[in-house]
Amino acid sequence: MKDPTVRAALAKIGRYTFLSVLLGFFALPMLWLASAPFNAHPTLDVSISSFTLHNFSVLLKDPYALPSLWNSLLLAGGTALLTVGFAAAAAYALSRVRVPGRDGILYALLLLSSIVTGTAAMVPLFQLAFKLHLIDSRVGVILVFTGGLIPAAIFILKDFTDNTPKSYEESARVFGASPFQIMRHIVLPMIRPGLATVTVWAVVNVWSSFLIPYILVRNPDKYPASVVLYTFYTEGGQPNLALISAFSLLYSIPVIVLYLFVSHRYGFRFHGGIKR
Amino acid sequence: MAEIRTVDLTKTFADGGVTALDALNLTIEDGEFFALLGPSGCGKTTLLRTLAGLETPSSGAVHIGETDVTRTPPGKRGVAMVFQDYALFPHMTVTENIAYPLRVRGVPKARQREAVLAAASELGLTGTETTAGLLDRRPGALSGGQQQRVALARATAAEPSVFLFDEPLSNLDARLRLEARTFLKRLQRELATTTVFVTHDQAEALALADRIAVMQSGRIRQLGTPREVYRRPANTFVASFIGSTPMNLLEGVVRDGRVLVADSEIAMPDGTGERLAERAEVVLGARPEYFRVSADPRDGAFRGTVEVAENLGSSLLLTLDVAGTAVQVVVAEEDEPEPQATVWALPRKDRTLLYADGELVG
Repeated sequence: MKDPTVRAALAKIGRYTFLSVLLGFFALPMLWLASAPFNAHPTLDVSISSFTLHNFSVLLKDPYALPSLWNSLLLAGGTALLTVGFAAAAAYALSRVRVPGRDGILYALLLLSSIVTGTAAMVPLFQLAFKLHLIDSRVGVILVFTGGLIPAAIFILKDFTDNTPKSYEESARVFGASPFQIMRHIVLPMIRPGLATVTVWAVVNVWSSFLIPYILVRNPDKYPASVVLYTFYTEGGQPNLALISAFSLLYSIPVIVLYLFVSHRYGFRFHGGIKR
Repeated sequence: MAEIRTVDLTKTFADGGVTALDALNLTIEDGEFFALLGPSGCGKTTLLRTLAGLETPSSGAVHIGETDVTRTPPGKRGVAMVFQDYALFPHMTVTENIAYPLRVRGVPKARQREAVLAAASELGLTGTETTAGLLDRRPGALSGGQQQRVALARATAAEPSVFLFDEPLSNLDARLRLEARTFLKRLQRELATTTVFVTHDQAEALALADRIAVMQSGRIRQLGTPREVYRRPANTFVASFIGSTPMNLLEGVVRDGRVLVADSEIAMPDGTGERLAERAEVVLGARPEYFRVSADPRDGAFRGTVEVAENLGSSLLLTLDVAGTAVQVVVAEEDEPEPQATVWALPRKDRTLLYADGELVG
């Protein structure tokens, strides 16, 4: 015979043990990222045996480390700008103009887009970029990313434009607003949370992407941070944990700052594709 | 200030080939409060949107004042429209919303502020000593009635020559609707601006409008003052549509200068006898309110038993079974008969109408 309170207590203990293990699983890499950069001889353990800032001073002297962050910023910013611009226009048009088979087109695009930036498309992408003289060009990388991200961005933003009542625009029109004014005064402010969502999503996608810039960019001066991180391995394939951890910390800061900013401005409301 | 005139205005929708407006010729006088009334799908909203310029007519023309505005974009017609959902911009404050028509025109900020204050105080939005003003709030923080006032304030700030209201009261709850109705009528009187509004609620149209156009399938079935439309509906469609309690429309036959309806012989309205042949098939129209009900036999009355009695407050709506036909009559609260009692319902001769082939004979 079991006492129900004992049973409840056991269930509680079990639940919290499970949650602690789960939390540890995700927290340990974070702790490592916070501690290893300041360790003179970092291993894969979470510990600071000998505190130092030497790892960072090495990075500062590295000719590629800091510029690569700037490169990443250019690629991410450019892609986000193009993606948001084109996707917003397309989403608005798709939700206002009656196109036969509209949803079909959208889902087909969504399906195909995962191919564009997928590994399988790298050879044709390289050949395309070569023919267009876009090898070793930031514009080329940005265009490839934009092409891959736009369909999903349209999908997310269309949900926001669909939820903007048509009467808002008609009301503005009757008061004499031009299409451009309607876009600027009414539509864009209404879908601003969507634009923020897509921006963050595009930036994070580009920021973490390795394969596309690695293949399309030749000149190390133009390498983004994700590619430069890969150069902190010895010829034998041994990772230089001190530099990798220190650089990873720097590499993660802009994304965290972006998250904090957007979260502060808009509160995190990831609705994309889901009807509220 | 302007009158509105439509000439053979036609609108056909490409998908489905629906004719929403069928060669409409309509003149709305300067300063008039005009109602477009009809069931859903009758074309009333399409007509309003065509006047606003949000729909382009398939053929025909719209004139506002002296100008043909058929091809003029909405913003250049001098109209202001209040939408059913009010269409207040949720990301702007009340002030910004009211100022929007002026902002679009590039009116200087100081002038905008003056106009906003004027419009807001006209519509009671600036607050009093005891209540705070609403000007800095966002539409989401306003009640339905307040939102409606803001929408009206925005429309008046635009200083249009014509107001267009799409179902202005339908988003308000019943009590607020009566309040808003009085308010709207007073406002229109004060501004004396030509106003067209769309409604499917006949009571609203009767209460507010100077004239009503009752529409069905893209056509105007009757055009007249609320009194004319209520007293003498031009056809059975209007007769059945107008009135809180629907008019009794009973099929009958002309015989010996009387109408034989449901085994009862009812007197014909004056002047209809010579226009209808013997044995002609007619429809007798009589509003439930225009009956005299008594417990004693009367000549020319319907003899029926009380089937249902519905309490309307100060009166009762009785449904009588007259030889198998249902006839509804209204009696005063103190005259409530026993259930299943036999009563005689005498229609008022001067309020009885006859329709032949659906059109009013007299």
